[in-house]
Amino acid sequence: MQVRVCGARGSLPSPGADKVRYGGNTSCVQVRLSDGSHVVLDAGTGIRNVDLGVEASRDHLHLLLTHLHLDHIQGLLFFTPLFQPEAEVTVWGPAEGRVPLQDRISRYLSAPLTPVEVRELPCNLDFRNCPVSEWRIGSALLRAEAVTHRGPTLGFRIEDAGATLCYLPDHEPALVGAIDGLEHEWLSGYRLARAADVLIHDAQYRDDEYPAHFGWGHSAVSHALDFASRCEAKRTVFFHHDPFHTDSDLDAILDDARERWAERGRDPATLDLAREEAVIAVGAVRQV
Amino acid sequence: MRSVTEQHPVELIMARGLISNLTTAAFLVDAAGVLIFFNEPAGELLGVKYEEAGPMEPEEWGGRFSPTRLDGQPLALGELPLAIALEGRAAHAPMRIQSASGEPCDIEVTAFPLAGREGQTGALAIFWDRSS
Repeated sequence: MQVRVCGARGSLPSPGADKVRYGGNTSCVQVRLSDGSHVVLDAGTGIRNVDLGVEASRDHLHLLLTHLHLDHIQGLLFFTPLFQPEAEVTVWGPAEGRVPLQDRISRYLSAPLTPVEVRELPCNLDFRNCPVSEWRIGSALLRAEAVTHRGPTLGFRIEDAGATLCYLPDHEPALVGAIDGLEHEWLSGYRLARAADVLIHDAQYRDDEYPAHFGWGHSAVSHALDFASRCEAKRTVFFHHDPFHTDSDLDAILDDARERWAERGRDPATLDLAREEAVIAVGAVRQV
Repeated sequence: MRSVTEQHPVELIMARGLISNLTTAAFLVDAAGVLIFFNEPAGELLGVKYEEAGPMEPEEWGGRFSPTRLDGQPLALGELPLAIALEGRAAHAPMRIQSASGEPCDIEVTAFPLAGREGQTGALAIFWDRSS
């Protein structure tokens, strides 16, 4: 399984000369499964960077949405398969009451917000709520569970060819108490992240920024470290960078986090920050 | 694929976070009716902290307070608001309980089901002290 970070920024696209290395596009991760098929996680503005190749564009494509906040769906109309009549695309997302996923997405993909509406998309498109139980896409076994964030929000666990990826881009497990003080059964996201080869996790705020954003649904760096440690993830990639954080801010966050990771007896090389266009091999601790 | 450690659904995790901060007694049960958390005010009523008591089966928590109607007539387990909430309906009832000190205490109980993407995963009950 191979992961490609197409957008790692949280909340708001934030292009700029001081955000070149980590990138300014919002959440989108492309996952290439062992059988060659593709899963796209979230549809932030990074979705423009998804590279399916010529052959893959003929496959049935699966787009998995953790939730419907704008930074996770803003790129939808730039997902090129949606405009290919021969393409088959399934959009998966969280259930919310009795309103179908398509109707909820159509609130955004409709006038006056967008020039094109869902019904005008020429591809073979369907919308499905993520199942409560595990389900298969290609060679992968997937599980979706609700996690602590504002509004119905999912995290994903993807197992493929003996490797496990956990994707928790928007997650505030410390909302209900100090992570160190929570038993596993009370730790949001634990079952998804436990012993994952790669954990992609929210770390939007520095610790000093978190109190002003308590309850907004995101983690401070120390929370992300606590969570990764509790779940015994083999490698952790911080994600959903704050739009105000420049490349140099993020470098400093990484240095500090690695130092604290080492103080816990962990290998600093197993901790990283997501960078746009980075490719991560899941199941092997190396960056391609 | 399920972990060896059972993690509660997020709505129960959030509910525990909420009632931990309430100053009214509150009880949280899972879909099987097992009492999986109560807060400090509830612990004062019970005379024991949750950390010491641990989970309780329905028969245990149902009889712990010796609940009766206000006129002293007995209340069956299935008549308790929390038991009704476990069947998917909100419920509210006045009752008399025996607090940990042995004193009778007239309260009102509000209970309601908690449902998430997996369906009903538990229920929450709040005890209101009628004397306050």
